[in-house]
Amino acid sequence: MREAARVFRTRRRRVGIGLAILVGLTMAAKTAAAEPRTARQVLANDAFGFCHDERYPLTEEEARWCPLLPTEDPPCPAFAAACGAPRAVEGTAGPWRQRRAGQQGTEEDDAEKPRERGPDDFQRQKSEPAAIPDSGLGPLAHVLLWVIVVLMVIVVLAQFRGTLGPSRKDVPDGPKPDEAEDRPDVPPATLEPDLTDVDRLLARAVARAERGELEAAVADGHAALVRRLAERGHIRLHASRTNGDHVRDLRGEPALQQPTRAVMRIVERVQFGHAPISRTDVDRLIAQVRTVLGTVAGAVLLLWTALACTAEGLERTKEYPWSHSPSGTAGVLELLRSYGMEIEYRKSTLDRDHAHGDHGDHGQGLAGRTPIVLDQAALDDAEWSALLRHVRAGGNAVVATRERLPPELEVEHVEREGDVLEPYGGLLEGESTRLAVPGHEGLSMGGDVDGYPLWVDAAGTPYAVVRLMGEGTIIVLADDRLLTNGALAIPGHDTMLVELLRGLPRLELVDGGLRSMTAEGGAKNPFDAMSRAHLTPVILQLLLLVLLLYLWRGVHFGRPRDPPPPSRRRFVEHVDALAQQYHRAGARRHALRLYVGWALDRVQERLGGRRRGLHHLAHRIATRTGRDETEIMRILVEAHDARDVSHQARESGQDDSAGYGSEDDLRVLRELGQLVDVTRATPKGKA
Amino acid sequence: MNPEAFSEICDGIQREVERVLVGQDELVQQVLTAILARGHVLIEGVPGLGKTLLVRALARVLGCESKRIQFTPDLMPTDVTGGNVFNQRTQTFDFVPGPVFAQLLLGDEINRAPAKTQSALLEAMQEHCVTTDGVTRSLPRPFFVVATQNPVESQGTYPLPEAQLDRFLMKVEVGHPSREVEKQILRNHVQGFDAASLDATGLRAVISADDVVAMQRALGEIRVDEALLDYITDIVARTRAHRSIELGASPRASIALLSGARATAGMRGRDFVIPDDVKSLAPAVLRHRIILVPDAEFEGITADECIREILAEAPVPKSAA
Repeated sequence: MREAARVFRTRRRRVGIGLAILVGLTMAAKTAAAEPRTARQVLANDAFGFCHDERYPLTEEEARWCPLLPTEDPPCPAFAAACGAPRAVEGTAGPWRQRRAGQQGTEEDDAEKPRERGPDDFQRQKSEPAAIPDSGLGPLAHVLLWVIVVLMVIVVLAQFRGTLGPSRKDVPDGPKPDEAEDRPDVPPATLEPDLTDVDRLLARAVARAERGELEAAVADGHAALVRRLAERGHIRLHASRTNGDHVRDLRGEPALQQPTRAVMRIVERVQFGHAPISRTDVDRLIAQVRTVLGTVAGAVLLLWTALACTAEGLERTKEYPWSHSPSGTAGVLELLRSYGMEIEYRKSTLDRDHAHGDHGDHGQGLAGRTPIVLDQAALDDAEWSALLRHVRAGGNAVVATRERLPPELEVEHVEREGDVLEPYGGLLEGESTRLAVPGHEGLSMGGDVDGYPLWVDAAGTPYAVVRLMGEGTIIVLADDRLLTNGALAIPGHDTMLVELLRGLPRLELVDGGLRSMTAEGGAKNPFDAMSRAHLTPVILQLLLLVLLLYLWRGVHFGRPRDPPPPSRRRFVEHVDALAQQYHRAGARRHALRLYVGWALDRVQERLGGRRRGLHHLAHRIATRTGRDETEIMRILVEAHDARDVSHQARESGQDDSAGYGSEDDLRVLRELGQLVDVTRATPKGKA
Repeated sequence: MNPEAFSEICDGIQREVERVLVGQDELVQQVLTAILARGHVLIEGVPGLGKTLLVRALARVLGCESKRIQFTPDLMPTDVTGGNVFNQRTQTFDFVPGPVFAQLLLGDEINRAPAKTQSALLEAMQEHCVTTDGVTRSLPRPFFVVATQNPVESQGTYPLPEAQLDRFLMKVEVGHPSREVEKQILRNHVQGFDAASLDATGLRAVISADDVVAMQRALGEIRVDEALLDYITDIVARTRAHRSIELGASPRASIALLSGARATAGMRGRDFVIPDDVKSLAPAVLRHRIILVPDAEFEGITADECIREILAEAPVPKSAA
């Protein structure tokens, strides 16, 4: 008990230390995240494949950044090279969609090649929203998640080891060094194979055969075979198991059983036979051992080949997360967060009350927040109304969508010329305030509208405007390209973005795909969930593994366990049950009579005083045990009386328990039982 | 005798017997082992499992004479051994041999006869001779007894004393055949098989009685390693120290295990004994020679379970001494 408590305390202390480390890591992560970073630093992360992989498959839309990329000291070094790589084939639709490298130049690819996005594409894009660039999990949750994953992997490996490997309780077939000392009658040569490595054992067997040490070679070959079979879980090793048991273990595997039986025959001939072993026999044994090892290795090779095939399949379909692509927003989020800005994805509609989670009191859910409406937001009229009310009430918003804008905004989409955008009228401060954004999306704002442009093209068509409505402000961008990772590849954009959004409270990216996913409650079925989580290849791989294990080891791959032995009643329980029956029947005195009769018979039988009275018996017991004869006589008389009184009362139909308490009866029972015990030591021959 | 030839003959005997006795391969093998080891077999099983057929078929295949005694409560010792009968023609007492004077004897339901009659047979089994009116007469060679007892009925039976049970080399428990085997038995009967007339089955003698004796003698040449003697004594000694066993196996059990293991080795075509021979035979040789403590019997522990436990603990010799 104390030991258990000590172990528990030790484990609790370890858990406490582990939690402290986790908390420390979390704090460190938070501290690191608080450092302001540049776009170059953000994109240095390998997760942004387009900055590091020159064969990164860009979409046509993303490739439009290519002409604008700087040639000298680019923040995103591999982006320019990736522009020459084959274009991407987008993966399955859905918020978790990813991409993989496609073939360039085929007609199919051309047919599927994404067109330049325009207003007509919005409906299509609504069903293909961008991936969630951030899971929303905090650093602690991340650490915990990885800890759980690692623990699960360890548990699974331990289970496999326990299932396929030899049990810890199993005693290895091969002798241990100290066994040689315990068994001096066994020649040392036969105990020599203490190597555990199968290949080395086999190599040593061959070497010994070459040197003419045939019996030692056989021992090594046998040890190699048995160890390999045990390692693979084909046989169970124990000191009490014979070679025949091992062969029978392989009953379901004829490919292994036949050569193993042949090996065992040779081994047994060496071990217990008297005919001399020949070199031919040893060579045959080694060949058979190699056959068995080859069969086992073949099964393993098959397994690994299959796994490698599936792994190759996974590799061939290498996918890049959309969130870290040029079209994603992970870099932008990381950049803004490094400046201390709060930014996250909005998971509910704009007209939903954040605080109360209902649809009443439209617009109140946006209080203290700055919604950033992206291309795929697909706001309905109610949401636009809520957003405008929020702005008029003094809130802020950013609209960066090519969708139809509400008339109340009095800003319309028009075409602009050129990719280079200049700040309008020196409103923005800073050394490099010029933007370079691909596309033709521009804005038009009425002359008497309360607002002003931020960036305009060469013809003066605004790309971004500030619209003042009521007490609040809306920043309208012609598209959301400035808010994507691709934009960070242009020097100066990071600074512009930070300056543009700095000071706005709690930014919320409004993405239609994410909202539809959360609104619909996630996956519709388990297969959808697996598909979204990209678990399908893993599940298929596991199923293949199970199938291979089944083919390899048949139904025994799970190592059948013996059913729990049927519980038996202990002898004392039988006695207890019988006593309960006597008790219920009120037959206490009857039970006493039976016991006294049995006990007196046993004592008389052992000491030979059956027909010579109690005095003689008491004398014999006293002589044998050294106890007081008077006391023994008292016990015998009480016992004798109990038997006789009970017997007479039973015959006359009277209550035999009158005048006797249960304590008296119990005392008689115990004292008599002691006499039976002390006389039990009598040698059988004398009894 | 060449081990391969020995094994081939045994296989031939088994195949021939199994032509008429379907689905009792293990029983045939164990009985043949006992015959070769010069022992006797006690078969425990319900009636109708082919015990008589086994003995008759074996007798025919081994070229031996067989007889059968149905043990009943009123069976007298002379009904087994035979006795002196007054011959009015010669005015002398002539000895009329009883059924025990056969090479293969089936003692059916041996526990139905009183102890006196049982002991008459058991003495013949042990000594291979019969003494009547002061004259000792040898029994024919080979002499082999298959005794049966019914495990179900206990009314009106006289259980064999432990000392007498010890004289059986092995006790074999026979169960009902599987459905497939039973169907095959029916199919044989549909095709005209009649257990009463073995002549019609074309069962042939594979060897003669003299060959059997020669084979028994040949087993003496089978090598038993010193380590295996240790293994046998270890197993038997463990029966005497087991917590659930009140009375362990006797040295006669060790001898039976040794001779049985030799016979098994010979039947498997080897001229040396391996641990597997001993281990596979141990339950049949030991199960009727041990007495469990009352507590264990109350708890439903069986002799076979104790033997299995012992075999699972006794270390097997791995190499020659």
